[in-house]
Amino acid sequence: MLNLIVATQAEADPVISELKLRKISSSLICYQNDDVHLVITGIGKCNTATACGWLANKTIQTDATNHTHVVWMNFGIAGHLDADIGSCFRAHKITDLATKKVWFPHPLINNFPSLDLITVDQPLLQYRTDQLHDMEASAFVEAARKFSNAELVQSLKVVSDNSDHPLEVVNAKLTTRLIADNLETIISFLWALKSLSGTVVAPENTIAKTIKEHWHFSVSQKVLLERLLQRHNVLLGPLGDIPDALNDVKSSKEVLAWLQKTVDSADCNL
Amino acid sequence: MIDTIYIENEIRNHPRTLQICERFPKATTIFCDRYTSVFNSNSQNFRLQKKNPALILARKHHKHVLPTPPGYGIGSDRNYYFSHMLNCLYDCRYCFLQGMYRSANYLVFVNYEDFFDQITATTAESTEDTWFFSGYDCDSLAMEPVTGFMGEALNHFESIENAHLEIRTKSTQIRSLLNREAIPNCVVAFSFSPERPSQALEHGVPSIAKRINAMRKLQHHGWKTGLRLDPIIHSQSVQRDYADLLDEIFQSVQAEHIHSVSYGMFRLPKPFFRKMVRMYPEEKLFSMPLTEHDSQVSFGDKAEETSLAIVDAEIRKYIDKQNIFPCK
Ligand code: SF4
Repeated sequence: MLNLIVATQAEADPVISELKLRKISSSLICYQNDDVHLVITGIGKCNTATACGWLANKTIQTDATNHTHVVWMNFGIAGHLDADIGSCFRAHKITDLATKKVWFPHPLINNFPSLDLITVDQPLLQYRTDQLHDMEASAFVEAARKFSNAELVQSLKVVSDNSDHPLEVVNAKLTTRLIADNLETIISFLWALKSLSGTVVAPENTIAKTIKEHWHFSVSQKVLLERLLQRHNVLLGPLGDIPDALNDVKSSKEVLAWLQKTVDSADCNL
Repeated sequence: MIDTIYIENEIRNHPRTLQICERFPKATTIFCDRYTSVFNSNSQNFRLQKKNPALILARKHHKHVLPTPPGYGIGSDRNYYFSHMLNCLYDCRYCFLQGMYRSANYLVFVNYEDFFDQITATTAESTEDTWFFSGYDCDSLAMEPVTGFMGEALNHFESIENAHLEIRTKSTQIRSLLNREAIPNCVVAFSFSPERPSQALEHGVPSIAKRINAMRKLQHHGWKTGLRLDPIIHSQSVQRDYADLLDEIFQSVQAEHIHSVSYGMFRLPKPFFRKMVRMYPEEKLFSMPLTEHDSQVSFGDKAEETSLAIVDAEIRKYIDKQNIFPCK
């Protein structure tokens, strides 16, 4: 699953049409398809943090078993003292100017161009050297990391203004064009993250649910059941259905004992 | 290939920082105040980071040398370890580092002299021999071409009496050892598992044949060498597996020039094990019939006793009893 957090409609439009996202009716402006959610947050840290919480609530409800593999990406435009207009960077260090908090998003994708980014509350009168400037990324990274693995929380920025091309001349039309010009980069970064996130998805254990419905398990027994089923998966393959051996079994204790015996006697050579 | 280097501001101009960075001219350098803000930050996933680990260069301020846990050693009463580096180039599935650290980034402390000073000071506390073990939190030699640490450590150990160094490794990066005279107070100890567990669990590690070859070259050059058979994974084929492994090793390596052999079972602290299962739920090793006892996860007393006795007997076919050390 991919959760995209974007400040403005102009930044989001090229991605919305590329991914064929549909607008849904909700309290925040949200677009989605089966795999992707995109929220338009409005400018600033507060809006961004609120949107992350809202989207987490929405997506974790539908994906409650394991949400730490969800990719969270923030993309949009940013200023820089002298980087070329239209160049695209991953934020490799995000500093919040007001709180001085710092985050270091991991370089999960090899050799992707990256820069420091500083998040400000108000546009700065002068660009700081060698840093992208935006108004959302620190709030995004702080909030989104609460819901997923830190490596899967990334921010991509396209340079929209620099000392030769000031912020005042950046309008919605130019913003959309800058993102559209980098669409391929943004989308391929997104798919690369998604594919990597697959390595940390715990396999679904559907039989666990069926067994839990059949017998009553205490909390600690549920933990043991999940672990035994996981071992069964690895050593003997997944249990498709409740096995015949458990047909006449009355208690959860007996179920666990059977499972324990079964997995402990499996062939364990590496 | 390393594409990102985090550097603590404090050591950004340290000669070793500059030297290491020179090896990676295309890498992106990112400055930080303390390495902990990168290495120890929350919600990191070791398995994901292992896909593309970054290098972190930092200064270690305290505790450069620490006493080894009980049962770790090769016969001496005074045993210490040091870690100029945390994490490893390789990816052994049984490695406790995955359970211990949040980050898979390679952390290198560039203030080698502080390690050496503490090694000297610790040695001076006693007239008895003191052993220092390297390769506790990393592989001692795998990153040697980058760090050059062992080359410098050997110069230092050469000059201190009563101090002994164990370089524990699975690496074949032995050039810095072959480019100098062997020193008598250093043992280069190679870790091995039999072919099957090695193939299944020791990802990215040089093959057994390559390690044997490195060991043979070092022996030839006059270095004391050691064998470390740790961790032993209990199985029905332990006897055959270790007989084959030792046979292969001693076809090339001279048993009479082996300084020491140590061996120990697969064991992990419970919290490390749980974290590793969460990271690699599909790993067969973690689904074997393991038991939890005294906050440790292991194969249990009976299986351990059987495997240890078998491996001990196999080693004794080649090595004198006084040079064999079971790890407790
Ligand atoms: S070589 Fe040693 S330190 Fe490196 S991954 Fe394997 S067990 Fe861990």
